Amino acid sequence: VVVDQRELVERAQRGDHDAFAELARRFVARLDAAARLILRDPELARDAVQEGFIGAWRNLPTLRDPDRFEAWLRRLVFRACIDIIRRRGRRLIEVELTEIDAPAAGDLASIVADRELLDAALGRLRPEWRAVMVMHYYLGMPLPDVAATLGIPIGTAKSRHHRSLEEMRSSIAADLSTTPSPVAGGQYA
Amino acid sequence: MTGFDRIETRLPDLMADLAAAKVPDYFDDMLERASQTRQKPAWASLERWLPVDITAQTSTLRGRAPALRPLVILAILALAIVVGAVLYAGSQRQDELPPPFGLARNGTLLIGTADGDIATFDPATGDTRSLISGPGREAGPLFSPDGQRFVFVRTEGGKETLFVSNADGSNVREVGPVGAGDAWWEWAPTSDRLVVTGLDEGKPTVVTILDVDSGARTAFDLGIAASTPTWRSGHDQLVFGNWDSANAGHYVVNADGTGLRRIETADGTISDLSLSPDGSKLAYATWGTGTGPSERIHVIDIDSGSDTVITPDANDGYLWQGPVFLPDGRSIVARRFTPEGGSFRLAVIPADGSGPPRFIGPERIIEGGGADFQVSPDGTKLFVQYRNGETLEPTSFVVDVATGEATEHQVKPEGLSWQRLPLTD
Repeated sequence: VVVDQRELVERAQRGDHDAFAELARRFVARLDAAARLILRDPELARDAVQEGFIGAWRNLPTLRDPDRFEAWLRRLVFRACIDIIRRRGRRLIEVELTEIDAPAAGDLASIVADRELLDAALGRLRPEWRAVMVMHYYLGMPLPDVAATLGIPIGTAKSRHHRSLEEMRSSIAADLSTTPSPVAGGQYA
Repeated sequence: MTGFDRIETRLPDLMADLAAAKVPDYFDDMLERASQTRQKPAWASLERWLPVDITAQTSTLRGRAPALRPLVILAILALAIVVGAVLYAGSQRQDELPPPFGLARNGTLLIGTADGDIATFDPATGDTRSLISGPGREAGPLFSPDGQRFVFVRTEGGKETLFVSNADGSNVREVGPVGAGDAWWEWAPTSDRLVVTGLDEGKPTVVTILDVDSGARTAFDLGIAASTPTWRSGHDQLVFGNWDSANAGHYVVNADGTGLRRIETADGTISDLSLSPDGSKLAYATWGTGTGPSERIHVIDIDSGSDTVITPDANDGYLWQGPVFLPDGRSIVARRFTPEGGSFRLAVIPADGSGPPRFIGPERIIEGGGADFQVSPDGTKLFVQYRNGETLEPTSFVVDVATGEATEHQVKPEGLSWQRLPLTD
C-alpha cells in the first residue's frame, strides 16, 4: 500500500513513529550522501543527519504545511551541516589525497584521474560554498531554493556558486600544471 | 583535459559517484533515538523545581520550672546549652544552601555560548563573561540544586564528555562520557549524584545513578525506555517519560528501580514531564484524538490519579503544549501555538485551572521552529528562546512573569542554567 506523503507527515505529527520512520527512509539516503559531500567526513555527516532528523521529529508538531516537509527536512539537515562547520571554527576539513593510478598520456577517458582532480577541487572549497554546490548540482535544487534553505540572500548563493566554479577551475589548472610525470608503479612521486 | 572548461556539467555525476546514496547503517539507531525523544526542541534543560513543604519544627520546651535540686537544674541547663548550640550550628549550615526543592533566590545565570564557552550572562544588562573556555566546545551547563557546582558537556575530537565545575568555574574535572541515544542527566536532590540515561551503550531502558565525586555507578534496567528521569520531591522516587508506541506516557519508580508503575494520564500524552514543587502533581500536554486542534494542558495528582484540564475549552482554536510549574507551585507556564499562522505565545495559567491564561512576552511567528524557556529560581523571570522555523536562528528574551514585559537580548545560548541561592528572608 502506497501511503501518501502528506498523510505520513500528518500521522507523524500526531506522534506516530512508524509514519516518521517511513518518511525518514524516503529521504535519508540522499541527505546522508549530500552531508558527506559537504562535510567530507562520514562521521560528521552522520552527526548532521541525525541532528536534522531528530530535530525534525521533535519539531514536527509545529510544521503548519505538511506538503513542505521535504524542504523543511532538508533545511534542518543542511543547517546542522553548517552548524558543524561553524563549531569546527571554520577550519577547512582536511582531505586525504589517496594514491591513484596515473592516466596514460593522452588518455582522455581517464575518468578516475578526472574524478580525483574534481574531488580535490571540491574539497578545497570553503564548506559553506561547497554546500551551495552540493545542493545545486547533487540535489538539483534551484539557487533560490538553495538560498532559502541556507538562510542566505539569493545574491550570496549566486556569488558562492560562481566563485566556487572559478576556484575549482583554478585549482584543477594548478594541479594539472604541477602534476609530476608518472613513476614506475603508476603512482605520483 | 578540456573537459574541465565546463566542470559544472560533470559535477552531478561526480558527486553521485563520490557519495553513493544508500540508506546509512546508522539509520535504525537514528530512528531508535528519535523514538525515544519527545516532540520538542532539547537545547535547554527545563527548570528543576522545587517543593514548598518545608516542615515547621516546634519547640517542646515548656516554661514551667520544676522544683528540682540545684544539681539537676544545672545539668539540664548544661544539656540545653549543648543542644541549643548543636541546633544553632545545624541551622547555620542549612542557611548556607538552598533546599533542593522550593523557591530560591536567583544566582548566576550560566549559558553555553556560540563560541563554545561557558559564560555568565547578566539578564539585566545583557553582558556576558566567559567562565570556562577549554580546549574543546563547552555547552549545556546545569547547576546542582544547592547551587554550589554545575555539570557541562565538553566536545573535543568528536567525543562528548561530562565535566563538573565549582560554581565559580574552578576545579573543573571529568565526570565521564556522555551516554548514547537519548542521553540525559539530572542532579539528585543531594547534589552529589546524577541520574543518567544512555550510559549502558545507549540502552534506553537502563537508568544509572552516578556519584559525581567518586565515579561510582549504580544501574538498573526498568524494562521500558526511560526518558528524562527526574527526582520527585518529597519521595525517594523518579518520574520519567516513555515514548514507545505501546507504552507512551509517564511513569514513577523508586530510586532503586523497584515499584515501577504508570501514571494514568489521559490518552495522547506527548509532553515532557513537569513536576509540581511538592512532587505531588504532574503537568502534561495531550494530543487531540479527534479532528481539529485540541491539545490541552492537564494536571494530574500522581498518587490519586485525579486529573484536571487547566486550559480553556477544546474549541478555542489553539494548541497548548510544554507546561512548566512555576517555583511557587501555584501557576504553570505553557506554550500556546496558533495553527493558522504558526505563532507561539507563552501564558501563565493557575495550576488548579481556576482562572484563564494570562499571556506574557511577545508573540512570534516561528512556524516549524519552537520556543523554549527556563524559569528563574525565584519565579519572577523567564529566559525565553524562540527558534524561527525558516532560519532556525534563535531570538532570546527575558520576560517578567508579573508584568509580561520582555527584553530582547543578542545571546543565543546552547543550554542555560540558573544558580539557586538560599532565600534571604
